Amino acid sequence: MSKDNENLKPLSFENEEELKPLSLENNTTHQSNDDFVPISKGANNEIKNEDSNFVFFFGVSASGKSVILSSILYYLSSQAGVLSPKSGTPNSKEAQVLLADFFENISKGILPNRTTRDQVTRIDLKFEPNNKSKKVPPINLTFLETAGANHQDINKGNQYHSSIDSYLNAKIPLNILIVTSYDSAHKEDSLIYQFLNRLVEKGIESRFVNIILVISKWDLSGKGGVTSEDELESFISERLPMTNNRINAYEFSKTYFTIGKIETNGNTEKITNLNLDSAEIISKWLYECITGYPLDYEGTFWERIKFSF
Amino acid sequence: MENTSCYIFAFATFGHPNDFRQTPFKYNNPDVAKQIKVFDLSNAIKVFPNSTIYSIRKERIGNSKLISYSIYTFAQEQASKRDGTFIGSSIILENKLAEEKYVIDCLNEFNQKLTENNLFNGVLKVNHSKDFIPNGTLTDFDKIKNPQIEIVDLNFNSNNNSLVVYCDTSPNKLAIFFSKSIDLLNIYDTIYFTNSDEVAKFVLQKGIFKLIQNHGDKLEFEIEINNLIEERKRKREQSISEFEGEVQRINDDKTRTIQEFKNQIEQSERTHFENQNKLKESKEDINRIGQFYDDFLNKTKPLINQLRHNNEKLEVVKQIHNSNKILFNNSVGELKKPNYQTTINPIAKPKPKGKLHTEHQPQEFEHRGGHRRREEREEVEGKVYKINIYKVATFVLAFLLIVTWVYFLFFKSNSENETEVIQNQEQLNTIPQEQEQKPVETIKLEDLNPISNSMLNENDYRIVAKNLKANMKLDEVVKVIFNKNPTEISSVYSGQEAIYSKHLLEHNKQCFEEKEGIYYFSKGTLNQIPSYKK
Repeated sequence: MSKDNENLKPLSFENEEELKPLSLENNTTHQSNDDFVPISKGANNEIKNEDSNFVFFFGVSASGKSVILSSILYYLSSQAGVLSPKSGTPNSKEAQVLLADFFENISKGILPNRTTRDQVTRIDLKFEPNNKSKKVPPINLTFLETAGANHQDINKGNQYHSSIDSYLNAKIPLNILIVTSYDSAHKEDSLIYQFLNRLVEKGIESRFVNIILVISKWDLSGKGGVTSEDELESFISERLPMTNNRINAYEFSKTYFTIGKIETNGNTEKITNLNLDSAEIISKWLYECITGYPLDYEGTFWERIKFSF
Repeated sequence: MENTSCYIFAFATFGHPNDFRQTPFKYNNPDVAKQIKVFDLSNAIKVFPNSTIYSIRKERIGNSKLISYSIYTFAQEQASKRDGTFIGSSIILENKLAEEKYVIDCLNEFNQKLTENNLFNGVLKVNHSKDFIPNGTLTDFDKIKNPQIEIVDLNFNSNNNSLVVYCDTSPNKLAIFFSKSIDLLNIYDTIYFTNSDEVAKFVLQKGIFKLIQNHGDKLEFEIEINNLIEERKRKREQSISEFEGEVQRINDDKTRTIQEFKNQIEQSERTHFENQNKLKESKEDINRIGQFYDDFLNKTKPLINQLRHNNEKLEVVKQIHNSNKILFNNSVGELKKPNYQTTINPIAKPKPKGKLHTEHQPQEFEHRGGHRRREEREEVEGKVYKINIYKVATFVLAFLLIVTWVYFLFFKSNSENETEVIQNQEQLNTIPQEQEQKPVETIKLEDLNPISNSMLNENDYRIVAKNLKANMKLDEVVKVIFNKNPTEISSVYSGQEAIYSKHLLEHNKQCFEEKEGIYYFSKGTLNQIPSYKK
């Protein structure tokens, strides 16, 4: 240490400022502790290769975004067709590792890890359906993996982190999956409502984006699926009244999601029975929204005759 | 003056719904505290139960250069069993550094108490970092709260690289690592240190961050530092060799230039010497020439006398005189006419070379150096001719200018139509050749600014018509229009009367008569009056 400090007596914290949390929420000039001032990163936030169909997940931490993403990827690649990297658009090293983890872990029953805050992991893929009909063409899919913290942050008028904002500000074809879990949906009605408002503020008109509300962890209801449409409807209208009205008004889709049976073994959770039914529903919704034709389209009249041979 | 101070952050992953949150518990400038990047870990590295990860990170926020020392330990989220979740603390020093051992002591102490206060059986007790119960005092806090050590030679620009060091992280060892890492932060934004083989294996498996080992006989951290030093040394040596190369080149230039000067001088000296010899010879010849002439004269005089006084036979005398002439011619003819080189060729004087290549000149120039020098010489030689070319060119251009003037003057007095063309040409400066021959109507008009988007309505142009008299000049007509229509015309186009008048003429040709290049209003009603509606 320098000489100045050698002469100083050790200062007791009691006499000085005691360490207290810096609560910016009480500060009139700052809206919230979690308010984030985006750090200028130059041209880093520019969205490249906009020629794709972007899939964006909204939901708080641990709501199941990554699980749904990995199960969609698994369904598409294991049952519906072939998922391959998009040529000319190399994925980042992070995205490649994430993708490898998704495939490796879900087949072993391991749930995905939490997602890092303040960064968007972009996964560019090309999906070629098994369906040979010409009406069911290959599509480009770009999945955007984001952390729940960043979605939680938009509460009370705060802005998105710049990395996410740049995707929402870009004029790109968006498909939005709003994810909330069976056990905590009632706490997130307002946040989802604010998110839908944020889209309007950003000039993202609901008619130009495809939005689906996904109630995740449906297995917590004690059932593997829904017996009737009314069951899901009544759940949503009861737990998410504001969101429900908005969704009905704009005729967005709704669905439930479950990954199957999860058992806790000591300190780890594991999927003991992988169920891809609800992943299939979401995947098919996604495909039909993008192309206008269902993934299991039976083919045109001539194609049906041709296929029958 | 830049602030120096110390920030202490606590952070953790809380799972549903808050996820990763960080809160400053000690801070100087709240604005800086708010902008500090998240201490969240990416999926390249993961905290395992019973493992600890330390990190050092550089960051710039406005004028603040920040070095963060962080610690991560495992903690479970309240509502999940997810792995890779953690609790941690960070001490951030602003613009200066403190002694690493005190930083580590404070960091360990703060995090120790943080985990004691806020974990129960390894599970987080709270759901947000702002609800953390911090510890009141830190033993060595006064030793780090006013950092004094200057940060030397560290570039704070991000390079998006991270390094993980698998090593002994006991406080004493870690202090050395941290201290040495400052230099290494020139290459990496964040350097992680862990003694956990699980973490190390994970990092290696993910392959996103570079992993090095520094234990036992593996000293890769030292190698990394040495590489940095080597790299610097290499760059330094490269510069030295570049400098030396330049010195060599200049030296060569010097020798060559001096040699060229010497050659030139020798050449000139030789010429002088030859001239001198010739002069000497010539001087000697002067006497001989006198002798020859005298001889001839002396021989001729007796012959005259012989003819005058002695009645000598004319034929014989003539013969003798002739043979004398032949003799004289032969002797004089033997003498060379002096031929001296009176001037030293001025062209040949070599130009000393002193031009050095500066940093920013492209490399290839260096290879072409010799070539360039040759070009320079040619340039010098060419100058003698160039001066003449310029003179000639000046004369030619001056001649052309005069011809042009004469041409214009001539045409002005002869044909107004064509004068108009020329004037327009001078204004527009871009009329293609073909149009020059065409009548006035097709000459491109300069646009009004803003371009007229309307015509006056019937009511308005009637008002204008009432105020017009026959044989009014065009610009007077324009004046009347501007006066009568202040909003739609005058306010918009004032200052552009000249252009406006051309547009008006263009639209109402039938109403105007042209005399001696000036247009006069003659008959009819101006019903196409350009205006601008806002």
